[in-house]
Amino acid sequence: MERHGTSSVDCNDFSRSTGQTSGSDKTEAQQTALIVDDEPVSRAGMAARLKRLGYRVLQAGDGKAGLELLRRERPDLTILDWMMPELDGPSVCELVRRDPEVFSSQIILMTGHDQPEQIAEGLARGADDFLSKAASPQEITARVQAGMRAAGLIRRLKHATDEIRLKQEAIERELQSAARYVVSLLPPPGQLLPGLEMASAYRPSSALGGDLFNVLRWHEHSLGMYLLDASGHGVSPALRSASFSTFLREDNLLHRVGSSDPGAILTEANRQFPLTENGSYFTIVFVRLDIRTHTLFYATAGHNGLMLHRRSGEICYLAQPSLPLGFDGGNVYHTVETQLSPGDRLYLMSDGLYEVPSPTGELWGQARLETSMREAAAKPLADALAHAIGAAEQWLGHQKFPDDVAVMGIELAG
Amino acid sequence: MRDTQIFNLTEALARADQDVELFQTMAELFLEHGPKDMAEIKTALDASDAAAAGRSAHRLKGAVLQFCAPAVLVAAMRMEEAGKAGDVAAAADLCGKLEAELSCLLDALRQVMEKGLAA
Amino acid sequence: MSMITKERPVPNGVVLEITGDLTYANREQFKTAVERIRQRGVRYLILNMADVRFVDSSGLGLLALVSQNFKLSQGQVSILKPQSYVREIMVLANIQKLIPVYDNEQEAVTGFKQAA
Repeated sequence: MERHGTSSVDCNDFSRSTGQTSGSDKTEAQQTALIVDDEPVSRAGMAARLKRLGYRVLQAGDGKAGLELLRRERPDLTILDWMMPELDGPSVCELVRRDPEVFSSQIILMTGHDQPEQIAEGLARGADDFLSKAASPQEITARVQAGMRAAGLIRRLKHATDEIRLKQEAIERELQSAARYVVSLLPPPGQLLPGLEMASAYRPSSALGGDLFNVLRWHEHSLGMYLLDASGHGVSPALRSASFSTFLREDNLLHRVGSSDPGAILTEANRQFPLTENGSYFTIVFVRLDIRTHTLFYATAGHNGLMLHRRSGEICYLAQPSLPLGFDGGNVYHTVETQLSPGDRLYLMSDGLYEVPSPTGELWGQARLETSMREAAAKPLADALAHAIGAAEQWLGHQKFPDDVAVMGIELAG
Repeated sequence: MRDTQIFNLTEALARADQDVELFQTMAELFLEHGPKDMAEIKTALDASDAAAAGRSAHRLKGAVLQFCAPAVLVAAMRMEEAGKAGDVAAAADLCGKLEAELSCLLDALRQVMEKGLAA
Repeated sequence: MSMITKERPVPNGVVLEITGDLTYANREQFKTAVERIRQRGVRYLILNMADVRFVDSSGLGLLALVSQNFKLSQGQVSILKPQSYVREIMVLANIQKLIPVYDNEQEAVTGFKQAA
């Protein structure tokens, strides 16, 4: 029958007094109601009542047109007649609830009077509330106003959520910018001196990490290197590390410590950087290499990440147990001396690398790290380091290391 | 004589919140669509389609609710029930009564519209 | 993971039984529990770590911090029965140089030396 074929979308006449072109501008206080009913007399009555209550009113004469109008205009409240040809009220409800753009719309379903079973079905199919066609004007007003209140709350909640997301994105952008700055402070890999190659990897677990490493130039035959780790995660340790690295500049160290001796440097740093009131502290590996004699001088504070991969294939960890900086203000750190040979590789590394967990929680461990180092012994230093990082990623199952990973390696030309 | 009883103008106006223009609009719409709904009911019953008759009776009922006309309302409700129950015979029986009551209501509305509505 | 603490008096001090993880997330809870004891004038605190599963870098710092605070009020902190992984962490950080570590409560109790 022809009535069912035409969809009467009746939204321009008495409803758009404000001249708004779309429902997306919700800064005005007036809320919008959509009434979907194929029976014109009751639809006219309901529309007039809604207008009288102060709402902007949209109308549709069948389910399909009503759904289109809802998607386009996003009314605060929709009143759906139950029985309509082709697409009835409950079916419209279901479609709305399945649509991610409009699923939280407030919907009142019109029921026939004395049909309580409709309420159960209506709820199951997505209605928020019900109104009988025979309802009194008072009840209609009450339910419509309640529905509008609920719609208002949902809208405010969405706004708040959107705002939070925007702010988070802004913060994330700032952190990324800060992270790029930190990376810019790191020494560029390559040839440090004739006969001394350096490679590095820096993978903080979030935008900013507490790990930092650097190269110090004492003389043309003497280099210093350190890898430091600020306890904790995130922005605060990153700031503390940056501040500590300022202390560790060549000119400042010569001024404050008077030497390039690792033990003396850590002893002084230990005095200058006590435990903070939150219990935050630094651990550090500090080495000095005399490029003429190939002698390595080193001292560590609570840090185990000093690994020597000799050309012979032997791998050993040079650090001894020692107090982290700040734990005991009077602690003295001692320098240890060892001899390097051409072809030897020395790595300063954070424990985030060998403590990488598998999906089942098993740690990668130093043994597997050593295996991957040996596998790549014949490769150039940078490739060997990349190989180890890749093996750790494979163990992890993806590329986002859960703990900061920082590695700096050097190789004496053989 | 029956005119004032077939529907209650005062109540109907109250239901429209005393909006005279609205009442007139609804009356005009009903005068147009009411007979069409009735015709659909008869056509459906001729084709022994009880369900279709019930659907059209439902539409009629929705419109009638706006005018506070209890006799027409009851007849439309009964027709809707018979249609939903699939009872063609019962629906056919009710048809005459519904048509008669509806006719009275339409006449009454026409008279009210012609006389104009006093405030 | 969470942390629970419980006090138990001993002849010359208090044992704080710790269950769970000593981490950044639980730092305030730990600091409060220890501060409560110190404020009462208790001079000797034994931290029983037998049921501590995990200590992170922040947790290690907390241990150093409470130890320093107790020393400031002429007191002392010692650690009792650290387990496997936790023990390893402490060894690497050479903690026993700062905080005595015991495996036996009797030894821990008698280990308290009055500050000069």
